[in-house]
Amino acid sequence: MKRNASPIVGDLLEEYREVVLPSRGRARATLWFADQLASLVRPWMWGPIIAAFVLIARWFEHFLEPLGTVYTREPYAVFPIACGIALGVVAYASSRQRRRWHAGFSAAMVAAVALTFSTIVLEYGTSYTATRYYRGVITGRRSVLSLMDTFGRKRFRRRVEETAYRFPGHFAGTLMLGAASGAIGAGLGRIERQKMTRA
Amino acid sequence: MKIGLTRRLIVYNIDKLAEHLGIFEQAVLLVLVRPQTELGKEGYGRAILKEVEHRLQRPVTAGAVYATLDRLEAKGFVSSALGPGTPVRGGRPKRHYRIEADGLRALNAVRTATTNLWNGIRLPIKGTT
Repeated sequence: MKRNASPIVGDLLEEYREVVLPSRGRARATLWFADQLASLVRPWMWGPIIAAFVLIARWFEHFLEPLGTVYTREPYAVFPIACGIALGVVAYASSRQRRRWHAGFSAAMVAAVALTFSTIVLEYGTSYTATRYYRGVITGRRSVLSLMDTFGRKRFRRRVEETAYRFPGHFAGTLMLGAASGAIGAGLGRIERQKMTRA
Repeated sequence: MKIGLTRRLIVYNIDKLAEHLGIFEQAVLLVLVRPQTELGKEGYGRAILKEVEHRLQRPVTAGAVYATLDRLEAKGFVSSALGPGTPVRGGRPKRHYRIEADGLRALNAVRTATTNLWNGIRLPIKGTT
């Protein structure tokens, strides 16, 4: 599909400008465009994409860890519930489409994304300290350097060093996991397609 | 009757071609044989997608259509050529598709196989359950 990239994007742009944008508005039309682009991604590519996302999120989370360690232990109870709901919804949707083999893989991917988002949003988003300091940085009242002053330059530097030390391990581990899940998903998809063709 | 069926099996190579042509692939090939809409007659990616949606009476994703076209081209059932772009496409070219002789043979084969399968069965089918 790589050689068709330009014609495909042209087709999507044409549909977007002539039909979707006038009828759905900009926000929903943009969502439609993103959905169409996502449908072009081959099954085996989803694993590495999710893995890269999880990797960046984990690295980000690890880097910011000192800001949210004291205040936000309670929200951890929400993780299993959120992941359980996500797993259930995707498994049900997949089985409705007669793609039961895909259910586990899709649910695992959604759980990975949900877990990562939950970690960031619940751990740091609800943390009073983090919110206060990040708001200051975002609105320009504080500089990033003042964050370093607040939490101590030595501690901050140590965190950077630790992150750099752990990064290769995270990188290799997450990419291997992603590649493996992508390969499994692609294999199961192929088996499913062959079954449907023969049916 | 039996001889005729055997001959057709040999001529169209039904056992190989029909097995490898899914419903969606049939829809895409049929669009290229006989489009029902004005846009469909243009035979490029978006036109084929719209025509398939029209025939199947349900929305389909761009990924499904382009992946199918790629697969059919790899099998030698369709061929394609780049055409000029338009301003609304940001100048990007159109890829026009055309059905090949092997594609027509495959469609005939799958239709023959399906007709033989359904021969003598009245609709709607009534089961014992």
